[in-house]
Amino acid sequence: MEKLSGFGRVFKYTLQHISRNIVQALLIVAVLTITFLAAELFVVAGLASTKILTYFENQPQVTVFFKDEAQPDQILQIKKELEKNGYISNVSYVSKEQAVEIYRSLHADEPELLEFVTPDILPASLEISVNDVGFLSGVADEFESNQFVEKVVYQRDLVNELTRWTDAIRKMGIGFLAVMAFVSLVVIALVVSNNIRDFSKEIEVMKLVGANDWYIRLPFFFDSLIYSVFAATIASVIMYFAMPYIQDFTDQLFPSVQLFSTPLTLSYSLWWGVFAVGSVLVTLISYVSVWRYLKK
Amino acid sequence: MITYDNVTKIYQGGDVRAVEDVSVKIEEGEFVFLIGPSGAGKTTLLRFLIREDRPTSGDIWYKEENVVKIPAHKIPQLRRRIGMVFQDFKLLQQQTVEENVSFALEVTGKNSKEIKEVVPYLLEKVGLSDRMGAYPRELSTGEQQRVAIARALVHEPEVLLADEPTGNLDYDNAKQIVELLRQINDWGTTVIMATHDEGLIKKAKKARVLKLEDGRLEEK
Repeated sequence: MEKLSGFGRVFKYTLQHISRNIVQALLIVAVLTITFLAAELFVVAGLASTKILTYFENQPQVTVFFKDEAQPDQILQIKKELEKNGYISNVSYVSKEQAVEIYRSLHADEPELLEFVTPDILPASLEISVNDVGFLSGVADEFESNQFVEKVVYQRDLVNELTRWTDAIRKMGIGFLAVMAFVSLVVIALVVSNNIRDFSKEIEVMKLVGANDWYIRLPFFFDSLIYSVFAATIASVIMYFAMPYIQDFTDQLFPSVQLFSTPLTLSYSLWWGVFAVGSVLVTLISYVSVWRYLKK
Repeated sequence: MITYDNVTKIYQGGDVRAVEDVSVKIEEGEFVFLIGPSGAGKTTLLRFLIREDRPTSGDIWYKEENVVKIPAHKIPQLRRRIGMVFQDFKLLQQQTVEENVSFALEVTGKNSKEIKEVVPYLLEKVGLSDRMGAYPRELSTGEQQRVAIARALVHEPEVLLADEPTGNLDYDNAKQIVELLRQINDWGTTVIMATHDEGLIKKAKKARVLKLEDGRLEEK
């Protein structure tokens, strides 16, 4: 048999560790996959909720309808004043004529509703977007008392509700993820310790014949990396195939929001993310377990 | 070459004195029998020399180095200069004779060419060149100890420590192992062999004998 070089030998011992304890290896991969999948779900949920919130934040959030006596010049002057405020991201003026156009396009299939609609009966309006939903009620209140204003409509409840949901998802996600990560690390620590015990004879001989500690430790680190690669790949593939279903679900609730424009790129990024964080944590656990054993 | 200087080892909070105030010098090329009954402290003295354990007090010098105080990262180098064999052989049962010996070279980063040269050479020296592909369970206890000796010699150590190497062997095999150690000593390696079997001493000519009893050492 052709003898292997230094790295090859370390890798050979890694494969020995895994093949000798294949059930334990599968257990670690399963536990890590669940944790990585939970992490990816959390990231996707976070991204989705942020995207939905951003979408609604970018929609006209306050619509101010003006009385008929308000002249276009006066409304445009108000628009101009508004635009000077830093917290206003956009102000659009919708004239009576444009309002009719919009109405007609919305009800194109219902001619009976269009018959008597003229610019006289629809109000001119300003559609206002703010940078932060916190400014929403202030803007609305400001117009409530304006003499030219007929009515102020704004989506305070929807945006507030979305903000609450986003916060809740974030908090619950972090909590759930912390528990999952803790359980995974404990399981991995137990399995790695068990693995080390199974190789205690080899380790003892290695130490006696003058192998340095890194030569003993490296195969266990490679074990951890291999487990992380498999778990991250399985979790990311599952996530990739789950994305269309998540998109379908959110389409029913928010038809205008496109969540995953590039699912493959997102899956790839998620793979890197969970692999990087996961392998660092798992390798750290291996390091501590082997270090404790070698210290004895 | 090796100096034990007032070495004492106390276990269990001061109740058990495994080794007490041992001072001895061992010169390069010597063959030393360390005799004494079981539990006399022979293994403890040998383990100190490869830093498997540390004395409670005293120093142990190997050439210019105080073994007691060398940093942990230098221990592997020390163990490549001092080989050791044990009563229980410490062979890897799932590896062949050749792999057991190669293993010691592999884990210290030796290249394949060197391994291919050294392993057959050593196995021939210990009389096992025809058993290279056998597993330890297929060997007699004497042959297993020979494999352990070959493994201990792979780094061409300056000192070979043998801790009760004949403890599990019958008389004939024990005699052959002592003969092999004698031969290794003739090649220039300092050999320290711990044994409780005083009958073996007669088989080895020109050997120095140190007796350890209740942790105390005396020259015989």
